[in-house]
Amino acid sequence: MEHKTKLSRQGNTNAMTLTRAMAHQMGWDLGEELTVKIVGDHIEVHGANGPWQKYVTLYDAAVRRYPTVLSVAA
Amino acid sequence: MSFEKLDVSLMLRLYGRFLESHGRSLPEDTTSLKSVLDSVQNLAWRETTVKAGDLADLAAQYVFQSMRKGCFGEDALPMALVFIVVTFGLNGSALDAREVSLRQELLDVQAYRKHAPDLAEWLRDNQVPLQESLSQAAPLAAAS
Repeated sequence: MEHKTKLSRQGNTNAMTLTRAMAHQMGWDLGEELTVKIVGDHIEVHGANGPWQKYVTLYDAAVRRYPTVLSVAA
Repeated sequence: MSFEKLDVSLMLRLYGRFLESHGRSLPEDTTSLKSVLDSVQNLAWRETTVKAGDLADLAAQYVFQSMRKGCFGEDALPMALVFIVVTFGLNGSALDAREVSLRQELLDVQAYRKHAPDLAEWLRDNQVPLQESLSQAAPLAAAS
């Protein structure tokens, strides 16, 4: 299905900023291969689902589970 | 023993992520740190293989060797935990422990009060199957 959209300059800037911030949170680096899909009324961004993604997922889960050990430097 | 080995480069990137969350960053040249991590990897793998160890032994060896090599300096404790959760996670397990006892175990290993087999035993007691949700990377959804 083809989707056409027109974003204002400001909207476009915001969208890019949001994407970069969230991508950073997900552990994606610049140059990471990403797939963007429009699904219904939202956009899904998937990483390459490679090994790095798995490492980040495990690390982030550990930060949530063991905040004292991981969030505070020894 | 057929466990998935850690990728040293990715562990280095995780260390960078940890440092970044504390307002620090990796040194520009990480050659020597990577070399020490390679050594930790080889020692941990060899020790576990020779003794026909299990996953808990392998994770404990990563912690033990990384602390002996002093590769993460003041970040030894948090990175020890990273070694454990990644080693476990890559091989279908997770650590389910009270944070206070985890911290004490790691401090004991760091202070030579406990050794790798002791830590392995403790890890084994707190090892659970990895939830499916953690083994899959979650998609990112953003409102358009």
